[in-house]
Amino acid sequence: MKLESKLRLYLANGGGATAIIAGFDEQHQRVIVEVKIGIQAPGDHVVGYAIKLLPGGDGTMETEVLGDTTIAGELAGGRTERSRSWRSAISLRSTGLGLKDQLLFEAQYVAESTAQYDPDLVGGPIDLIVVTRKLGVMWVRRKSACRIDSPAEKSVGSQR
Amino acid sequence: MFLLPSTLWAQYVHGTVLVLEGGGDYIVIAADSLRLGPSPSEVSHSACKIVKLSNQLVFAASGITSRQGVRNHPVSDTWNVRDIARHEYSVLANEHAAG
Repeated sequence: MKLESKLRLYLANGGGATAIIAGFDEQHQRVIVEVKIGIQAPGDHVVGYAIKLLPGGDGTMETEVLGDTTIAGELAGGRTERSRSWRSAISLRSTGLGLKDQLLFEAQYVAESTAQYDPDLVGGPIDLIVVTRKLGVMWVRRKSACRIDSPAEKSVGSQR
Repeated sequence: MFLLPSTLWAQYVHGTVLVLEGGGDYIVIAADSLRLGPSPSEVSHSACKIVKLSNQLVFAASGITSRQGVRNHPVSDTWNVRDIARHEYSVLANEHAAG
């Protein structure tokens, strides 16, 4: 199929799509697979894909940000005044939380901060989901528009 | 991601942030809801970017993840990766169950 020229330009500049498939396998091992679709090497004219298995050992902590990574990168770098204040806020507000709540808070904080500071590309309610080794997939926050898809799914915490 | 406003382009693009945090017995994913298109300058806040594939597996995607077909265009299909992921997982799960 012939690609529109602007789509071709977008792909040539490193654009495309990235997907994450994450969870626990039948042996209850954490599995995180990243699939990147786009032009794989500069100068190529064919769209391909690359699969990467992210480290998922029990002792490892993973943070992966897809899409608009501007704010997450600034936060990770910690070189700007506001990024240092974000770090302080995260540290202050996640102190005393268990690991699950800490992960939930941090993921939500990064998503909400990106929406706040880059509203042209990111915005609206933040959906939040957790997969636990023992209990499986549970929604923590899910907007009503997404409940139509699978209303019988179980949820934890409050939904907005 | 950069934006190129045009009718065709808007059929493909939506902005996204997906944040995955994994540690110990947990994996957490947060996603925003913004969708751009399908028509130029059209914005909605109702996109569902996280898909529960099974009780142990979730899927989420950013970038070009959907396309609105063009009316009366002979090779223009409407698609989105959420439906494709669900379908493919379902097929694989059924094959796996059948042994």
